[in-house]
Amino acid sequence: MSLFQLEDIDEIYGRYEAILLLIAAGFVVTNALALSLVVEGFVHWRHLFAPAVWLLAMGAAHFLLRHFKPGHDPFLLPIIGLLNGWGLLLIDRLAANFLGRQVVWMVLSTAVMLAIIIVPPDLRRLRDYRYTWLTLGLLLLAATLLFGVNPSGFGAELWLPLPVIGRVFFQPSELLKLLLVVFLASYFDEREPLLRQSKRPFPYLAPLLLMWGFCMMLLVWQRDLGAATLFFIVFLALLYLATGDRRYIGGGLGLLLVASVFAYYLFDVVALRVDAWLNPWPDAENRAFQIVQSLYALAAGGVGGQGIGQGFPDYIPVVHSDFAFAAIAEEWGLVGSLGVVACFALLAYRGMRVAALARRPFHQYLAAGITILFTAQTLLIMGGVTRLLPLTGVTLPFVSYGGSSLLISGVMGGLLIYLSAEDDRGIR
Amino acid sequence: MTELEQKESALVKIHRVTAVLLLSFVLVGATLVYWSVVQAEAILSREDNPRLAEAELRIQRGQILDRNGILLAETVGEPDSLDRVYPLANSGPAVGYYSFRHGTAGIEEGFNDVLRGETDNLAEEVHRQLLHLPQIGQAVYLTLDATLQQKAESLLPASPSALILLAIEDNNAQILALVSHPGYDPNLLDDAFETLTADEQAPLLNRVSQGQYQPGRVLQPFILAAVVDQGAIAMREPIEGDVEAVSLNGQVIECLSPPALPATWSAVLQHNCPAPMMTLGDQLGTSGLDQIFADFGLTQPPELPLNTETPPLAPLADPLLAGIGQDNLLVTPLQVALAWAALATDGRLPTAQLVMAVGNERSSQLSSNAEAEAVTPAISPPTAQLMRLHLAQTDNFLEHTVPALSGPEGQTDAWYLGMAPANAPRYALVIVMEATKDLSAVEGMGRALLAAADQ
Repeated sequence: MSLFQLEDIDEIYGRYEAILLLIAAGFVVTNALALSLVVEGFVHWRHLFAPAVWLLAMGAAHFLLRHFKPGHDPFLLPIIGLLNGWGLLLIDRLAANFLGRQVVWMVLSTAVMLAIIIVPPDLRRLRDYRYTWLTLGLLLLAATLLFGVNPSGFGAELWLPLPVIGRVFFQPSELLKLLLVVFLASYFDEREPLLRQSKRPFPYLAPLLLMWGFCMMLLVWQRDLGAATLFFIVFLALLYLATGDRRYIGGGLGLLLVASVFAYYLFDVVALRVDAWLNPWPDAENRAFQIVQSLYALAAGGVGGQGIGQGFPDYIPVVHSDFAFAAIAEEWGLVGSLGVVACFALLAYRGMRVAALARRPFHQYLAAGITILFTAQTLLIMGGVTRLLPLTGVTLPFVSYGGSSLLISGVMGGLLIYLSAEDDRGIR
Repeated sequence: MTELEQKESALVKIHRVTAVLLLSFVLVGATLVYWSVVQAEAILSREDNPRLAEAELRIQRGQILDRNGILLAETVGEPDSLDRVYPLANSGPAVGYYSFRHGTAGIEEGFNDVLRGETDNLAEEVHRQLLHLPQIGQAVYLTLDATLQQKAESLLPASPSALILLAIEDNNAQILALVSHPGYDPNLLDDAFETLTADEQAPLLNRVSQGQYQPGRVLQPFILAAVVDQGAIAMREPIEGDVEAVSLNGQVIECLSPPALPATWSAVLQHNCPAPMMTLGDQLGTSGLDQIFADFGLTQPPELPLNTETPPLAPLADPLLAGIGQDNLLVTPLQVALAWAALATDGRLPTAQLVMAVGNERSSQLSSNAEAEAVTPAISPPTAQLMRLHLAQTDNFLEHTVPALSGPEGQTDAWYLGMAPANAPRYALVIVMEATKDLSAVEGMGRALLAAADQ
């Protein structure tokens, strides 16, 4: 029996999406009003501006999708929309000076997502020019070695300043994530039969390993170890989907463990994060401050949460970026944090469903790759925040502050919705 | 492999990956439950949790007021920057202090839960937390009289000294004024704390409730009253032996003025002669003296919402010295004041009271000392009345003023025990000034304060 049942009533699809979006809208607007009342004591437009723009963006997305792609998955847009809206609430709550910028990125992200869905992208070009795309991504990442900056003034210099626009920065590793998934999907699409049938598949994997190795090398060089871990997980998962050989998973995880041990001794940041993960309490005031404050936030939230604007998540350094999930747990409690987990779990399920129902192998790998990327990133940061895993410094997709992350997440969300419409309808 | 088989194989792999992804989310969910529910209480109670401080800083502590509703302490400011202010400077020893950094003391400590607004009502607490209502404390009404307190403050010298004035009603001894010098201004505590704790004169120590002194001949009226009550002596009968001076560690202790001879026990009391008291102490023995001191509450710290704990006393060793208060017994001015109040009334040791009402309604009086009836009297009412007849009287005040050797260095402290009005005392006062033999100074202060109280 398949996990993924066919659902074939377009009209109901449209209604599902509308109802879910209305629920999301109710949540976002109610919380914006509550935040305004808590902060100002009355309803102020400053707290309603972002939700209003978000409402327009989601409303437009719903009507355009219903008109142009009626067969698309009805859950993906509401999930992405709710997470986006929740993210805007959090930025307003935790770093209001970044809210305007995040709203612009949200609009751009939604626009790009819609463009990808409505204007049929030529996926063949993505597939056929995989080396070109990935090389482009690597060059951009390499450029950070020379021109990289960190907008906050400290930490790894992973951003490129965008010319002309002013103080706007782009993080090439975010784009590289997508390009790597495209590359892997294209590669496995082409070489899958050989990989499956050959008793010695290594020669067929060599070009893939070479390109992937470049990515990893650059990321490690840049100390972007979170992205490097993410690439490794996506690579292993897609390799398993292509070959069905569990030994790759076992071997890969073994390699990851060995690499982690080396990284522990080579990189201070890794040693710090692993130590803080194993036992944060003795160093709660210094090196483990962030994770300990995160645990306090989870505990303070309890079941029902403190309510928006009424907790103290701002004790966590860079809470609006790396620890948005902890802030949710404190102010919306276990109910809210499990709600976010449920959203991402549903996103994972619907994404893998798109992959399962894809008619073309490239589409299948692409949908699976994007979904695994979203999910792995989510699990890495959720695991880090809850001390299930060491911290890796990745963002919570759609929720955390960060333009590049939001934009690329929009592109990936758009591709998923596009694939859901294309392949699902094709099957029916 | 056929195309169909390939598709099925791909589907199986996707199923497996999906299952792993979903199980990972379940694991994250379980971890969330662990931190947010199972471990929440343990984590939140850690001292380095900044939320504890945030919550503490937002508590609007209740007011502390005197018996007439005059403010002694209140919390002012905006909810996120509250400040505790004490309108009466130097009221520290009486009211105590509240400091975010240094904790609480005095009434602020003794009634901390009331002042913070802590409640046992679960529904009320859940309602407050759900709506994020501020925690507002209740008021505490003290028995202090701000006017008398200020007068006492101004009378007492800045040098180490202590004063306690009681109003006696039924079997309660309500504290009207309580001064310990050197004191401190609780408004300036945060800035001055290090200096205060390093000060050799211990300004943070409440000398009234915790200052331990060798009592010397302060004990005379209590020992004599007990022995008279037992029928062993009569105040008007002449003593056996003489009233010579005695020598102690090279210091001479003698009557304050020579009594007419042959001296009676009444004269011994009024002239503070040591030798007959030593003889009497020898006759009573350490166990007899122990019993007398216990009956007058001099061996146990009285119950008060102030810290009255003192180090345990060594047992009496020499009855001769114990008879003149120069053995191992150490007393606080509070203990002496309560014993003195027993003489001022019907011989029963009264219960000290510093708080007369709790809550935002002044009418919510604390229950009075109902169980006082069960207290064994130190002496009978006639004996108490008789003893008052033999105390020195000046104007409308009955008095017992003595110097007392105190401490290993032979420091002399001046004690004043006074009660007023003389015919039916309602006020009892004890003053001790350290390192002085100036009895007239301490008498002057005592009379001025008793006169103010008895107006």
